[in-house]
Amino acid sequence: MKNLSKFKTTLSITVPFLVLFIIGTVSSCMKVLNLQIPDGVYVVGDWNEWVPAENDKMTFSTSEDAYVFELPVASITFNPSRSGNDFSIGYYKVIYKQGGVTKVSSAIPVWKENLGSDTKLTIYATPTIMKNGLAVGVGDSEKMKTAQKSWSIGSEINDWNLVQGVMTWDATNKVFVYEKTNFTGQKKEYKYKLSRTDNDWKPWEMNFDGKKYDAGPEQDASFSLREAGTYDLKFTYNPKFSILTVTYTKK
Amino acid sequence: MRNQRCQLLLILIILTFVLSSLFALQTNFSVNFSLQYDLSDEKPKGSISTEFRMNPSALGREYDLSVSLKDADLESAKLSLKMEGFKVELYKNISFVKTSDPVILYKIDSGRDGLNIMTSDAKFVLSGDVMYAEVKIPYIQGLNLIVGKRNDKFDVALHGFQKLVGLNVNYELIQQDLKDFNTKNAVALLSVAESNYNWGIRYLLAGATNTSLALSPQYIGNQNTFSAWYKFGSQPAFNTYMNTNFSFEKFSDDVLKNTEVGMDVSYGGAFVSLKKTGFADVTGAMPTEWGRFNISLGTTFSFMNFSGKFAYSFGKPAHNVVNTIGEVYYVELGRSFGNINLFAKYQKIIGYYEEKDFFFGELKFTGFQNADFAIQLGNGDFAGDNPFKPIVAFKINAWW
Repeated sequence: MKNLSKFKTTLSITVPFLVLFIIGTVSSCMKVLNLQIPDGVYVVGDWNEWVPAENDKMTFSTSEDAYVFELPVASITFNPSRSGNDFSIGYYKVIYKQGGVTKVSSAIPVWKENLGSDTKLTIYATPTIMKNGLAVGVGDSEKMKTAQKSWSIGSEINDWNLVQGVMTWDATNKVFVYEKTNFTGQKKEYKYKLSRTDNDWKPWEMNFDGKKYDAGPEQDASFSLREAGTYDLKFTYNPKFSILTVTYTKK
Repeated sequence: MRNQRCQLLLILIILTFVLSSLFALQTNFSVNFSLQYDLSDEKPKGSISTEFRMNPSALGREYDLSVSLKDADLESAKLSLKMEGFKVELYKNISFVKTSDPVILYKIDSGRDGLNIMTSDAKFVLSGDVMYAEVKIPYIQGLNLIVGKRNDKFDVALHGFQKLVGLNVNYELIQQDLKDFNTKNAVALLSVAESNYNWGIRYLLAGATNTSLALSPQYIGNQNTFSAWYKFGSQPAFNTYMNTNFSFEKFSDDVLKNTEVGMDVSYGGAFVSLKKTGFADVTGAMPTEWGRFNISLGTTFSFMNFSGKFAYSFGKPAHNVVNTIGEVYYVELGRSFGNINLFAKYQKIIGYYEEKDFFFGELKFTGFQNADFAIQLGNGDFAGDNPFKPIVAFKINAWW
């Protein structure tokens, strides 16, 4: 019994030290490599092994008022979507580094079949509104195309019926819009989500909750109403910078 | 719409109560309440959800019903009826479509509505635009036929299992889209393994380099897919494996690029795993020049009545959500104090330019007669892109 408690004491002292020791020695793996990236806005993906090089730098376009990068579609590695082999999905990320600030977007999916015969994907980024780990502030030309499937809003306000929530392109403001008029607001908060239309929510990777693409079943955006009443709701999706918003007017 | 559904469910529930009191049926109910606060938003937001489940093994063994409600909506339901040598199952929003062949011709993960009829020799599944029949072929031991239809396309698969000189042999032939009969839509599989599966090989031949099975989880990256494994030892136990895929035209290039070799060693609660994927991208001696690889090690431990696990990995990609070279630390601790259980896990990913911290903690109170209560902090899915956010959830689970 005594031996056992002694053993326990020894163990309780040695194990934390052992753990710290392991952490201390092996953590040097990344430190030893001492990897650094120079300041700039970059696009990364499989073609550059997710490590930015000088020619992956985005350039500022005054006409677009954003950083822009033309990526050859052939550079993207496409794999079957998790929602079925009929859809091919590739990914990229945008990195912004300036001084001590580094922002890395979430992985942005690109749907190959929707690109049609496009040979280039135009990627846009606005670092000032980018948020670390989110898609906000980053978008691309594939998100603007609706040849295969339109964008739709599924929400508690339309029984999550995507066919009812089809968005139309507003060419003036360069956003997709879905309007729901005379909506009877009865509770404070309503959930919604962006997807590609036809009610099977595929490819899953394109589902967007206003923060990240590939948003799962429990990940939704939401808006709050101040009081019960009849409202005109307007959902907008800006594909260039992945911005999803709701505005409403009370009647 | 929703009100009607509510009423319908209410009637259903009352009916079940009445039935159960009349016939003294064995019925299980369970309710989950979950209240969640997301403290990371500017205005902390709360959301509440309830789930109700009913599982009566009513009217004897021949009848089975389970229903689950999410908030006020019918989330899913399953009804099964058993008769002599015959079974019928009805599904509402449940994932149940999966064929039993080795390649798995059809598998749908999302919830579906549909019907499943089973006899001892056949199975028939109908779910929207997908239907299939699986039939045992008479007189030939272990041989099965699957005929399926998805939208307007017909697929067929013939698969079998045979014991040959003590070896387990599996084989399958698939022809997808019969109307467009084409070698591109053909797939063949052969796998041979030792009787206890301590070693084996698996070879998949596709009709073309871009063959793809529409509803199968089997991803075909190339015309030939080959894997082999060999397990030996018990203390320590070794598992070595090799996976590769190649086309006939670019055999050596593909093998160099796509081959994955690895070894897992386990000894008690400790493990070491080594894996190297692709050999074409190795350019030097520094880890940054090794291409895709992974080294991981870990152990379970216990101290001061805590039991836990520690793991470390170094590799490229570092993690599902960090694609560059990097390392991942993982620590997990648990302890119970009578009816109170404490559990916490933490993960840190250090990539080239990304650092992500994950945390999940749970305090669970058990010991109530037919309920338990838990307070959770953070998100427990460490494989996805869920860095720590201050989300607090209160969960009550009750059953009777």
